[in-house]
Amino acid sequence: MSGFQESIKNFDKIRDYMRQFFLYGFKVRTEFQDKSPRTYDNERRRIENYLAPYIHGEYTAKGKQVSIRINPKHIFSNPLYAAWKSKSFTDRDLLLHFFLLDLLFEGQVLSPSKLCDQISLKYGETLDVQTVRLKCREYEKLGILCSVKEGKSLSYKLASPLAFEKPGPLREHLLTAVKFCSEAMPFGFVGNTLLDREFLHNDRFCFKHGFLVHTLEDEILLRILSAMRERRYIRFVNHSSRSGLQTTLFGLPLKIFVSTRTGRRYLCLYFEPRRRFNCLRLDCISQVEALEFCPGYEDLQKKLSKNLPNCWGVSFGGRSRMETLCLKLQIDEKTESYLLNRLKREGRGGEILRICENTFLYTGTFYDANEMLNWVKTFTGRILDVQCSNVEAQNKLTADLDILYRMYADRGANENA
Amino acid sequence: MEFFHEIYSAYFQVVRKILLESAKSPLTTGEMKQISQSYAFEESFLSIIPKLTEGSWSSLLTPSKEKYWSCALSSVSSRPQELLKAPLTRLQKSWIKALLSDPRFRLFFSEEELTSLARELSQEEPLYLPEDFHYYDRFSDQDPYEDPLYRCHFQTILTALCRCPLFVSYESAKSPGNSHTLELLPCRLQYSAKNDKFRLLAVSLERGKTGRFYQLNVNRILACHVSKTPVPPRFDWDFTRYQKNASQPVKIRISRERNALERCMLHFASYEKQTVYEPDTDTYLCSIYYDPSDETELLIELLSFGPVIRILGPENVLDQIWQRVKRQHELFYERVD
Repeated sequence: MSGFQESIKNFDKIRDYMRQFFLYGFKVRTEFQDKSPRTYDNERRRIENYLAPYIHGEYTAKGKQVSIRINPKHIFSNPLYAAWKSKSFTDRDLLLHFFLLDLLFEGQVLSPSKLCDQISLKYGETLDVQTVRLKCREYEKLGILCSVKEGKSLSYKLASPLAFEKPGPLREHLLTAVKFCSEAMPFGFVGNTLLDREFLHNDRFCFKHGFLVHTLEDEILLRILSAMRERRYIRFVNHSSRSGLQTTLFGLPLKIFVSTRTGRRYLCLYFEPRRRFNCLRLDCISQVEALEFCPGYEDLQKKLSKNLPNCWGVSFGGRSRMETLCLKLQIDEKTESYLLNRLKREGRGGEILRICENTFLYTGTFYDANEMLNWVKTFTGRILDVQCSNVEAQNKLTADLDILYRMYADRGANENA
Repeated sequence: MEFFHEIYSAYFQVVRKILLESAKSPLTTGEMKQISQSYAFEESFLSIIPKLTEGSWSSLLTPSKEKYWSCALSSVSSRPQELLKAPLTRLQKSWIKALLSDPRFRLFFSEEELTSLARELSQEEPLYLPEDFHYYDRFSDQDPYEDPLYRCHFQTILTALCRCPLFVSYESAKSPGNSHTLELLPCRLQYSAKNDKFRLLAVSLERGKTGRFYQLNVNRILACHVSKTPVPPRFDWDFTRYQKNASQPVKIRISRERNALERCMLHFASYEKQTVYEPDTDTYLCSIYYDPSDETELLIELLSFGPVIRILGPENVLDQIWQRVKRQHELFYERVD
């Protein structure tokens, strides 16, 4: 294993493997066909290093399967953030980082050549001016350094701390808020870096219904949001999770659709040739490239906003524009008010009518009734009747409920016996 | 703005911590290894320590006596508390700026503090906007984050969290109109993205002794204030001992129909799970580990998959599924014999 390095240059590689191990965890070495066995071994070893307490290996007939097993309810800091902390760097990157922070610590303003002299004098390291200049420019872009023009050349100083960084209640409140937001908000990893900066960790909050794996898509998401902010079209590669096919697509990114239940996140785009909105899984997208500005961006945003109340999930429907589903449910009003509450809070604005004692009718009209079926099935055992303008969807639902009955009918036979 | 950058790397963090500690008192390689394992990955010390002590990063440390090293940077000794802390990056500032629009973030601050934060970050662009995201299946009865009373309760809980007991007057969902008063040791605030609600996880305090474990919706708290009762000696604030997984996981068989495998793997990623392929049946067997207090919720989620998954056990779960499926059949086709 000589030459093995924990750090990595390219995040996409670790993204794929981490996803595979965390979400699926049943593949063995030979099933990672598009990668060489050596690549698999290296990536597996890296992930084992990053997430040692959560790694499980199991031997099956096909070979060893590696999985990441985490109980999200008992996780206070997303372990998958480790992948973001694994960027490789050169020795000079590390040395210069600490030299610059040390030399500019008390508000000094120094040019790259003076910095070079000081580095040589104080630490005995010889670096060329161009290397230091490039690092200063890079840190200026990151926001760590500020440049000051002195004659024809630029000198650098550390960016001034903000007032809320000073010790006091505001700083304390901010750090407590960051403990929460680093796990619950988009781009939580950024919050985690803020806690690292203070050598703190989340010791106040825990989370339910969290999808830790979302962090692996954050870089792609950031590129998409930048394009959205600049109202630009994007070109990207879409990997179909069903067919395995990769296609390059072109569209206008408008919104990110998030499911808090199924763990899926989608990018909603406007595809101009088809003149349609469409949602694609965010975790299937890679190689995002921002293209030209779209002059009609705001109009399309408004159009999308108008459409949103008609979407049950991420589908904008097929040929028939709107589909209505009526669900008659048996609910004991006295003892099962929690079911009525479920209808209200999960029904996405559908109408709820009390037909008679203990019988309620839910009616929802959306673009695609098929998307509602999984939700309807959660009321199994309560459904008195289902009617849907999309007959296919209605038949699919009743057929599914019949299959379910047959599937477990042997239990009924045992009960009767 | 770069997300994947070495300044956020675990290696930089370890080196910073070693420099800080070695400025206080010289370190051995054993102590450096401990720091490395706490702040980076399992094998990181293998490359970090040789580089710091005798390799290409050795200008950062000075051998102080035999087998001890101390920090070679001058700023450290003058103001160790601010040691080598890089100024906030644009990415970090723009993330905080984005949070300012979020009512949950605003819960942590007074109005004056929020104004001050907004002023400080006025030049920054937010990393994202609330309207960039559409949470299409989030429950509609989320906590009222902007309600002054809710905000007041939330901040009182924050003050007491993991520090001191709280007196709480609470209205349970099961008995609306009736309030209970409890003295609680607040262990954690739990947030659910699906419910968009906070719950207080706490242990009751009865005559100075610890009692039951409670999970209270913050929105159902009618009043609360910090109590002066002392925390029982040796009280462990770790709530996880009260939330053990059920003795047996729910086992499901996943067919290859309708993309079921992919859907299940994503859906149940919010649970601890393990999946194996069964070549004999060409199906996948998935074990889902769950907290018994989430059993009904899990049942509902399993039912949403319909017949593309088959629940294999444990018996109590299978029984509940059968009762629902049987009742459904009866509702559609009258009672079957």
